[in-house]
Amino acid sequence: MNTFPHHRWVLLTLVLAALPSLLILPFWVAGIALAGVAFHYSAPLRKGWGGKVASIGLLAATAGGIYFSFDSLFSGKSVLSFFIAVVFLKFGESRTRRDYLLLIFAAVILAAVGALYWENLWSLVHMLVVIFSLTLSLVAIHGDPAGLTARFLGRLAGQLFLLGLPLMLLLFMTFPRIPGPLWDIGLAFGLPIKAMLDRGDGEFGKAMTLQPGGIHQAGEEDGNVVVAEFEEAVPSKSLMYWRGPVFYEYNGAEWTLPENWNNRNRLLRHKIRLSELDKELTHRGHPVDYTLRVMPNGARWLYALDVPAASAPEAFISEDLQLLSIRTISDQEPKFTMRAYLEYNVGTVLSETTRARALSWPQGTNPRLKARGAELAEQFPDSEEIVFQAFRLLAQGEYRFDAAHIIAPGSNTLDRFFFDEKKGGAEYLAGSFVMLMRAAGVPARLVSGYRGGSIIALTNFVIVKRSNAHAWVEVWHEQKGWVRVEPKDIVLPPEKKRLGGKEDLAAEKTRIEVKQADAAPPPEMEQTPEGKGATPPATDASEGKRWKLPSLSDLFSNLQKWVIHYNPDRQTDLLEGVGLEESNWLDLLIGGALGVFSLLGTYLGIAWWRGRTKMDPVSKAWKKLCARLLKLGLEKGAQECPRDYLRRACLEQPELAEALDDVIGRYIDIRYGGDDSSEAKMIFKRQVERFVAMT
Amino acid sequence: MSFLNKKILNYTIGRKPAEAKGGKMSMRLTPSGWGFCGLMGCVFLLSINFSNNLIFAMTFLLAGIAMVGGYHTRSNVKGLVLGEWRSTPVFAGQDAVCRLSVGNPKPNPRHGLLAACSEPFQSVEKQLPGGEQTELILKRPAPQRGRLPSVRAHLQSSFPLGIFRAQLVSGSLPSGLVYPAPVGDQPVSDQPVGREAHLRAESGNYTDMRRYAAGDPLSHIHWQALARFDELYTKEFDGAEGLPALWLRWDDVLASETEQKLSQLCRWVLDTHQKNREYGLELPGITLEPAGDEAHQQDCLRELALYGKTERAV
Repeated sequence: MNTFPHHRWVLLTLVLAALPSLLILPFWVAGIALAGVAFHYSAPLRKGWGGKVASIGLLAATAGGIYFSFDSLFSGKSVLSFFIAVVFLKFGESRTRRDYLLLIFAAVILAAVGALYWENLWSLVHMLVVIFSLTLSLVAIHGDPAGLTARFLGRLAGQLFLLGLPLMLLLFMTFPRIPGPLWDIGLAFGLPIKAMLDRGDGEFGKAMTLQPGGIHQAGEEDGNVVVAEFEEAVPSKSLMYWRGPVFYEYNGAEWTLPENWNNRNRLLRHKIRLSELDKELTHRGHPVDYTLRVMPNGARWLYALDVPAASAPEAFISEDLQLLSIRTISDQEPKFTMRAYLEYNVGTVLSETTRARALSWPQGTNPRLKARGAELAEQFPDSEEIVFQAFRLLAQGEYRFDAAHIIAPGSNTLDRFFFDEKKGGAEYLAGSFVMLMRAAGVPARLVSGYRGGSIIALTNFVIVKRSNAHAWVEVWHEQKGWVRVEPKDIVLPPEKKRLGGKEDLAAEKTRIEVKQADAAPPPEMEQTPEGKGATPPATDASEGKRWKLPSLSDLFSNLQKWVIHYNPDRQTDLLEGVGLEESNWLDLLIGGALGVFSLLGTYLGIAWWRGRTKMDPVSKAWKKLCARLLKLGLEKGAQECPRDYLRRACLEQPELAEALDDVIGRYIDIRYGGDDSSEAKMIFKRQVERFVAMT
Repeated sequence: MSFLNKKILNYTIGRKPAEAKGGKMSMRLTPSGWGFCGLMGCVFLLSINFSNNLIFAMTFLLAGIAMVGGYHTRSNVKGLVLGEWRSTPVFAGQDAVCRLSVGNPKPNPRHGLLAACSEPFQSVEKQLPGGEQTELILKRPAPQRGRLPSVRAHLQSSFPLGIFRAQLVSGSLPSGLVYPAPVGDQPVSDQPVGREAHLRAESGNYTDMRRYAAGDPLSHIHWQALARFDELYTKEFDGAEGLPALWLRWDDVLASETEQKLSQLCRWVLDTHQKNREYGLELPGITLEPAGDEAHQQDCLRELALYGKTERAV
């Protein structure tokens, strides 16, 4: 006995929701699901002992399948297989509304898990279909089986679904986004979760060399490096450089730190006191105060923001301006407040030994870079001009930033990168830039560390992950000292970087070409991303020309951009576009709630407008007539029928008798005499108008 | 000014009376609605954890649908016109059937209407097409004789999504009488005691036929006349051969416990009434003179139901 014959909608929902998962799981999972469905529809199978034995057998088969198909009993896929099997076997024995409700909830989870495995536009479509069918089944199990036709069901579910869509869009855009994973948030607020998890591979800071591809490897890892809480607004991501090892020595294959670098006495002997640093900083700007919390890294690195300008307990500033811990950080998580100048030039005198190191060149490597550097040095005497010309080379050379690209090892890798492949990660780009500068006679060094970080839920917390690993360049200008140079910003302008995906590469190319055509930015502006200031009008114009018919692929890429790749940054962009410059999560929440309420209010208003009882024109005209007669001193009693009313009116005001006899007579004809043709109604209305106008 | 006053007065007086508009409306989450919220929370955490926009979108879409569904739930119940609860007396152990008439003055059909009260009484969901009337039934178990307490009841529906439940407050369930369960196999002591009486109008020769009046015994209805005239007539008898009235007495019952005695007496009342004999009831402190009509039976049963109970009123 099926209490709810509309269970087929529940089945449809379940199958749709499980589909993406079934596609990636071994085929036997689908088999067990099928068995569950068969159980539901064939009563003899599930009745009595046989049915029980069969269910237990199927469960055992599931366990066996999981044991043989997957390496681990608790891996994601084995848990998912078990879940699907249980859900479909449950469907086999489901008979009551509560059972079906449970299944529908399970379908939500299945759909969510499916979306984890497939994240593209088709899965968006799939998600919408699943939710529609879910709404349909919810309505079906809550209604009377007899009274619900498929048409009524479809209409109601469709209405719910379509009215839900705008709410979804609104919430999707405005709900404050918290970048995952969740344990980051716990980490930001000081819970020791991730620190414990990370204990195993907490030694990454010990490496003394930087190899090509090393940064990309680091980028694949999800480990955290530091957590910073800023006193005020978080600075732009492109301005946050977390300073780590500084390299001078290049041996043709990798960058290395000196053998005795880690010697504590040597480091302390060369440390820079704050008073000295004060004198050394020839230019400083954009000070920020923040609290830094450093995850154990097995070395001394504290990865303070470039350039650190405050003292911290058990820490000192090295000659290369890194903030270093006196003891290695292997267990504890140092936490201290810090101050940094995000824009600075440092150094007054370059010692001869350092100059020699910053100009060193491994014998017989990368001859083409050396030649190009010498060329630059010949043409341009000034070091700043040389840097600018190098930028020009990068901008015109159609370089592509591709962190995953590794150039085949061998001799002259930097030459091959700079002149042949023109494609690679930060270490190639920065490394070849350093060597180019050295060849041109400008002292330069390679700095590695991290750039940017993820901002948590629009708070002032920033988490820097190993995936933020980066390498950049510092060059020595005689008048200014060490100045940071960011070749990556030339190749991949920072405002485009967050799009990340490969589909943006074409757009980047055009942007670089535009840059080329423009007047080149003045050399003072090297590392700041302000070069973009001149570009927008040009791109806008070209877009304006192209705007004719949005093609399907345009639509898809837009959907991709705004739905699949929507993220906190884009949310901030969107709000800035609307005119909200500084927005925090509270504003977002309030705005979202207001939006939801106004949308719901609109729905209510429309429902009221459509549902209000419409008075038919005859009653309206009759009411008008009665109101006029009331003014004339003839009030219609609630107990009077039209005929009695007419009689009384004729007696009391005989001069109106003739007109009233006609008008009220027509009303009686329409209402009681059966003459309700539209013609009669029209005449009645006209007569009322006439009567009202004449009296 | 006076014109305005008159208009306002007209307006307020001309409005429909308040009870015709239906009871007070309230909305709350159903248990499965709470489950739904929990589910949303889980899925939301999942989406944050994996920064997965699809799951975000799904969560928000479900939340949006739930909100819109809340409005539908409300409008599914809004505007219904409720009557008064009615119920008939029952014997202990049976279910008291309470009925509530519900009218739907609007054109839109209503679904999943359910009568409910604070206790989990049995009820069946009904649907109600536009412009029609129906009766909702609530079965209320009556395990003991006496008077069922009056309980607040309402009409509710969680259609279409089952996440929200709209409640329309109706009146209270009536405090119905519960008669003792009619059990016991002791035969009625046929010995006429004390005064004698005849069932004057109940037996003997057929004398006359008159129009049916409420309270006439069913056995005297002239069914053939009903078939012919489509009207109820009652047969009258001269009562010449009537049997003497019976006294159903507390002291005659052999059972020892009060409830058993009452049950036995209840059985006797029903049996003798069915045999069309006049009977009187004698309980400690209460005596009902012999009679044979329906009202007398109800009086007797009421006395049995309320025997020994403190609140005897009504």
